[in-house]
Amino acid sequence: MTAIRVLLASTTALIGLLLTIPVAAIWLLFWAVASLTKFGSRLFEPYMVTSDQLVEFTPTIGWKPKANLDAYYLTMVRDGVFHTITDAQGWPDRTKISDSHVVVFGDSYAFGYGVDSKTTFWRCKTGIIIKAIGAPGYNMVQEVLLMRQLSYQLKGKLLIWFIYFGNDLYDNLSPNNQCYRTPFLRKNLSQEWEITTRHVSPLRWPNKADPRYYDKLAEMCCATFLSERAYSACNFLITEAKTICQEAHAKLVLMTIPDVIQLTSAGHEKLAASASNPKSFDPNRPDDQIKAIAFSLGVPVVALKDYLTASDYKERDPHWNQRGHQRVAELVKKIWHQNRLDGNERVVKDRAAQALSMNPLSGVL
Amino acid sequence: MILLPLARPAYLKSFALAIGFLGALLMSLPAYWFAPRILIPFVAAPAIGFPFLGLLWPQSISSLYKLWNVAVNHFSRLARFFLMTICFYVVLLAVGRAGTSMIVTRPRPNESLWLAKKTLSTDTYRYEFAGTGKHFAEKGWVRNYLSWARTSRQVWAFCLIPLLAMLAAVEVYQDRRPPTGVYTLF
Repeated sequence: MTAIRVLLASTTALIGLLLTIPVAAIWLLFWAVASLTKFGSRLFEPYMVTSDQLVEFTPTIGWKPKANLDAYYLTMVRDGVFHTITDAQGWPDRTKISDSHVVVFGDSYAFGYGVDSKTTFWRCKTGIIIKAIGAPGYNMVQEVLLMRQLSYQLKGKLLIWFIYFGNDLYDNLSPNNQCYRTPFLRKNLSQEWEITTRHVSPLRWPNKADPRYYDKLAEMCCATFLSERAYSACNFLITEAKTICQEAHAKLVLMTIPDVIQLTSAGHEKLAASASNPKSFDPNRPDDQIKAIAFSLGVPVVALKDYLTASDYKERDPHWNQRGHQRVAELVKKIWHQNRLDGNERVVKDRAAQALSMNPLSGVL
Repeated sequence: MILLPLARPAYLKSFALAIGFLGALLMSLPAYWFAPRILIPFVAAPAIGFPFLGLLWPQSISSLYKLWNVAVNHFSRLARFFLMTICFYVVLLAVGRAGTSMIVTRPRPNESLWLAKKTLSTDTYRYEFAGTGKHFAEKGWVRNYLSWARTSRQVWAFCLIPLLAMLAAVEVYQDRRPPTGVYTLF
């Protein structure tokens, strides 16, 4: 019976194979196109690194971009790959802090994530040299620690600090960003804020819970326990930054970055829908709170929501597009000029006062 | 194997070149045999048009790229149905005519022919279904299949391998998860 079966099966399988010739022909066409497409894409796309290969562990701060990078990375699949360059310390571009007019501290926005390095705000031809210090995923605590570490290089510089509302305010209170351990703020026994870095190590953080940043942003727009706590932490961090800048003889300016959802009425509705306390929902609350803190400390603040529109952001990820970077570059230039004018006026006033006090006749007159 | 990957600019450009090249190649055959002069524009159009469009404005062919994948999915579904029909109505039906080697025993009164399933140890619970989720197109299925045919003495089943291989080849699978190694907050 086995022999008969094998004979029948082989004969019918052969007939079956003959019947499948049209299917095989069409399959061959599809296979050729798919293979050529995959193979040919190497001609148009350089070798790219993963986000893990862009950064490396660094004590206290958690992570920083790898030094001397000249690499391409993928953001959203449809956007393709983008080029990045870092210096010997791992910060974007090869410019030195000592050569720069303005030093910008921030997260992925400062890093220039999502656009080619040649189109970032620090590369736009504005006539001033901008040095960016930042990495994807940084919170404000990491940026304050970096300001401390680099304070000896900041003398006489204009320091612009990017505060992104999408995740910074919440992440300041969180010990991790996805699987990475980050420095964060917590209150000690005497109810004072302190920066905690003891848990920072190369080990993966075990909790993989989704932080649901849009829900958190909606909460930051409401009067809740979390938002009160987040703004109190911001107050502490901005005070720290101001002290560092004063000691380093640098000028601090805050620049708040809205998420694109905060720039449209549809976005406001979406945020309001997920607000934990809808009655107190105010899309301008993050800016108002930061302004109030900055005003009390005498730190200038620039709200980018007054300068950017949704068209300055990318379609598929929350970062700026090329146009957004250009606008920010122009704004940074304006701030630098204004700061220089203010500085000159102050110098003239100081000199005049000094001259008056040294003039032997001044007391008489 | 036949599905195009998620579209990104480099893939769109490469797809435009591939379509241009294959289109020109396919059209050049009838042009060579039948009417070269008349069909020259039909050869030149894909050969120049698609690469030109794709290289200068990759997004302009993203609709075609999507349509191509829709066509691949339709083809895959029809081809699987066709191949399984051949397997069943041509091969299995013919083999079935040779009779069965299965011995069917009639149960006696008050007797069950059900066999108790030997349970697995609790340590293996988490692995019990690990193998069932594997994709048909994954590597290694031929070895498993041959092993089954040999141990169960179903030698005739070897003849199904070419058809099963075709079934594996026409199967399409696209990973919808976001790509790993990408920094993203939302």
